[in-house]
Amino acid sequence: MQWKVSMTGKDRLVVLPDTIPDNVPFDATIDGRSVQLRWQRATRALFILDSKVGTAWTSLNLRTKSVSKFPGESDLAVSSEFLPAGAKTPVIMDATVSLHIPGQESRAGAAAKKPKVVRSQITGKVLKVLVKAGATVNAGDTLVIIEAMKMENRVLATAGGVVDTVKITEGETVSTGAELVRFKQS
Amino acid sequence: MSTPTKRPIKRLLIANRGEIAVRIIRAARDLGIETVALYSDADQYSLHVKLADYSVNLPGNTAVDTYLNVPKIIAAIKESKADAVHPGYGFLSENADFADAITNAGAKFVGPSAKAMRLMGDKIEAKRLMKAHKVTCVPGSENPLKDVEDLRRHAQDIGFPMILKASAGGGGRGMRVVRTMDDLAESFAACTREAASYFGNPAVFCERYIENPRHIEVQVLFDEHGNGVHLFERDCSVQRRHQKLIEEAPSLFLNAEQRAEIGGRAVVAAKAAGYSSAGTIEFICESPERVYFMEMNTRIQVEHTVSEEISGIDLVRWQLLVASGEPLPFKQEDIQLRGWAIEARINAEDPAKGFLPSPGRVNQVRFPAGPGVRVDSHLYPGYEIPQFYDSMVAKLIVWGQTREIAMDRMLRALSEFEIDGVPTTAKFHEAVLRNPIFRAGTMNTGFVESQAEYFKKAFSNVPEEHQDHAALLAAILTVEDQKKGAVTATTTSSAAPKSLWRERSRLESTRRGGV
Repeated sequence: MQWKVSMTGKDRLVVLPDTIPDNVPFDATIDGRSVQLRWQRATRALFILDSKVGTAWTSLNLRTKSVSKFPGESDLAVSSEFLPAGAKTPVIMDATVSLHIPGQESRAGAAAKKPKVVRSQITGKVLKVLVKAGATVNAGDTLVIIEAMKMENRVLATAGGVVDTVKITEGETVSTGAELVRFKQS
Repeated sequence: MSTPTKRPIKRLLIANRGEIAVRIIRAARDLGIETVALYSDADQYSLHVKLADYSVNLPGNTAVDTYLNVPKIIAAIKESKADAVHPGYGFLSENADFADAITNAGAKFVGPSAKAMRLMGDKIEAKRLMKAHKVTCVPGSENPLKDVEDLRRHAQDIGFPMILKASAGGGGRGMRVVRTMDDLAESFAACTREAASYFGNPAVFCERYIENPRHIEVQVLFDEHGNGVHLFERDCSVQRRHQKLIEEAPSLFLNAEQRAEIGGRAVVAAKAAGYSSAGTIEFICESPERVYFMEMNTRIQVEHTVSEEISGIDLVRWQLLVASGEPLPFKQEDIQLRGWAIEARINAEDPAKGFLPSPGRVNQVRFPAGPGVRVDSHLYPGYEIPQFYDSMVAKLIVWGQTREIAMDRMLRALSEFEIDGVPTTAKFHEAVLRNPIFRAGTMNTGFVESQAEYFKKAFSNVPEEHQDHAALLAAILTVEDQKKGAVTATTTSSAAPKSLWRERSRLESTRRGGV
């Protein structure tokens, strides 16, 4: 299966077997280069055969991982942190992973017709809704305030637009991925 | 227990949750005391409920409905026939009316007397008491300010910048920094107004404002017979928006002589207040010679663990023994400072995204272990971190013979700390532990803000050689999670470009109140 991994502004094409075997070496390619890998499910460690050291495997030990998947959106934002063998500092990585289907590369036209929706990045209680349907919003404006873990989290617009509908009311509890505000097509 | 006590505690109710509830249950169990856990609906699967001998549900989810609800807690005390109550930290721990309500319900409050809590809770009263006992306070007004003229006179003595504070204030609210004579009148009016509306008491006083001081606090422990000791100081200068992130004991800022001096002052201060149980005297330090009393925290604190590690004294155990009338069997000269301890608070917040709070399900968790490593936590695999309470999910404490050893050990322990499911502050701590200013020990409370560039780089600098490996890991994790049904990807929407709208909103978080 082919996966497109977007990271630090660069896309990488990763080819993996359809199912990952447990603790058995398998071949994979990244941007056409082949690598030999071994995934240990119980310890959640990825071993990579290090060609520089001959037959030694170097381990990537997963430290934290969080996955956010917004309903209606195709990409998975994977944030993980691991310690490669010999590295002094852990590698902290935010990547967006999506399935790559050859020949279906561009869907930009379809995406432009998709409604513009701001979704909640956290689970919490809606303290304040600061916009109404029809309101014109500028970049930097606060749309909604959500309370979670004793913190007030202001959801800010990073682009301007006209509000189509507000999907939530004050006092309501929203979960991650819930639609907050829908904007009109510009 | 070595000696029998006059009124031993038989059944202890814990009016708290999370890691501190677990910590208190452990101390009680060490002493053979039965425990009663309280839990909100959201906390029904929490570890403290499982560990306690008995548990009582407080219906509801919000703090106000549950852990802050005095009538419900008093009913639970009666229902469970508990003879003592430990309030932990935060919630009702510094509420003197709550302490009175417990006493009236026939149970023992594990902490100081309500009288001492009230005295130290009033900032003007506390300062006056300290001055009377020759404890240095920040230069400022001794009485509530009468009017702007009164304030102007003080401003001429103290100089600028100065800070106006509500006498009944706390948690970072009801304070205002004034930098020029022209701003005095307006700031005074605003501060008085805030003090009246937030705290129901318009009394305001003024002090010299010290920019980016060191935050140093002294742990004290008193029994109910007037005996008390200090367990040296803690340095809590690594903070973000008044939220402590890393604490250590002792402080590199003080030498042995200054340590004895500041500790002695703390004991005098606590004794003057008629204090019993564990407490903390906070000081702000301009320089080792200019150390001023700031306030007293009349509770066990989050960071009490580092004082335990360097002194060998279990503070929560002694809180329970003191509450059962035991005298302290040790004197100041019996307590030796041994080595160095550092605590890192592991919060469910993402430091790479402005410390965005991240409640959610913890799929996997693996704690570090080995020599000199301690983890105080209520986490377990499958635990759902609720959105209603504090974001702290674990405290990682290390001990080493020297500060150098402790710092390296903390890095080692952090490299073993594994949480799958939610982002945490662990990676932030790693960056702090490698920061040259922190390594040198010269940080003040402005450290995190002043090192913003350093932290930004630490989070975004993925070395080129590791980027391929990172991409492989990301893809494998996605395949693995997909198999487990945690995530689903469909081919129809798969090739759509990344939605801009995720990037079209961003979050900014501000802490409400404080613990």
